[in-house]
Amino acid sequence: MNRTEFMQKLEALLLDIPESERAEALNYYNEYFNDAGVENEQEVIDTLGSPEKIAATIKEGMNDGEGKSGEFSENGFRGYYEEPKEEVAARVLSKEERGFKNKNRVSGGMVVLIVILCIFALPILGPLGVGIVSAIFGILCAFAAILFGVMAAGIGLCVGAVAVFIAAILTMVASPLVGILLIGISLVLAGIGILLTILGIWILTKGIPPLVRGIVNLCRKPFAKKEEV
Amino acid sequence: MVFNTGAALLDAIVLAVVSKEPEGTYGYKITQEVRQVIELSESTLYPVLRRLQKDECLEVYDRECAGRNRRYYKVTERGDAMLHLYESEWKKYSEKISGMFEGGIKDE
Repeated sequence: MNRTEFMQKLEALLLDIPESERAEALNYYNEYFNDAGVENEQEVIDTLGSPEKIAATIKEGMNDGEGKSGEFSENGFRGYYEEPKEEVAARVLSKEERGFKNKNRVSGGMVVLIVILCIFALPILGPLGVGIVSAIFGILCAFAAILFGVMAAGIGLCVGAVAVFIAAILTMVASPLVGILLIGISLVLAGIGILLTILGIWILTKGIPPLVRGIVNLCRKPFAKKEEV
Repeated sequence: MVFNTGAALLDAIVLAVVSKEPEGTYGYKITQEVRQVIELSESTLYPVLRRLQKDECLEVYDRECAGRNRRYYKVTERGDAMLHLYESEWKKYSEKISGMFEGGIKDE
């Protein structure tokens, strides 16, 4: 590859950067060849490296000022990627010290943003909390109503059974067969009534405590999580 | 070379080389002078010069020389301030390292 080929290749590779940047870079390398002299042309081409490498270096260099990490060291393009992070950090730090435009500090803004988000979330989180509490209350009421219903049915059936039994004894005088049938019915009613009552009492004693514990734990969970955060 | 030359140090060296010439100096000469102190891929210097120029540490002007234009680089006031900062930082840094090599740093 001679100088002309080298420059043509470089120009083609730099077609995707702004015209002014391209002209600047091509001018630099053109001058470089001029200053090196015709006799050193091949040496310059050898030491400059491939046009691809130079083009990549120029493009990376253009991004360098725009917050992109990475820099140049004496190792050139390869060194660009191998730059230790500490050095980049130190450089950013020293730039801050020099009072350069600081594009990296967003933490303050982020805090404000989060606070604003929380304020906006309040009207949503508030009703959500009220809704959850209401739902739990509703479930509790429903449960109590079912329990009450079962108990009432049981007691009612027992009362009914007693009434039917009394009626059966009274009927026994006139018609013993109907009286015996009624006694049978009253016993069935009493059985079902006692069963339902026992069920209600069982739920009241065995069912409610775990349920209450479960609900209490459910209520604690979101608060515990909030404390962690 | 055993030690890496980081970007900041490379900037400092380039600024030091350019600031030696009150009238400014040009790309090829800067490259040759920088290469006297550190091993440097020749393609590396252009982006460094361009960046220093964008950071307003270097300014450029064209001068007619032997029948053609040559671009000269000159250190700006800002570049000069930067160079001084680099120099004082380097002094502190290198003295600490040297002190460490020559018998360790005593309790401060």
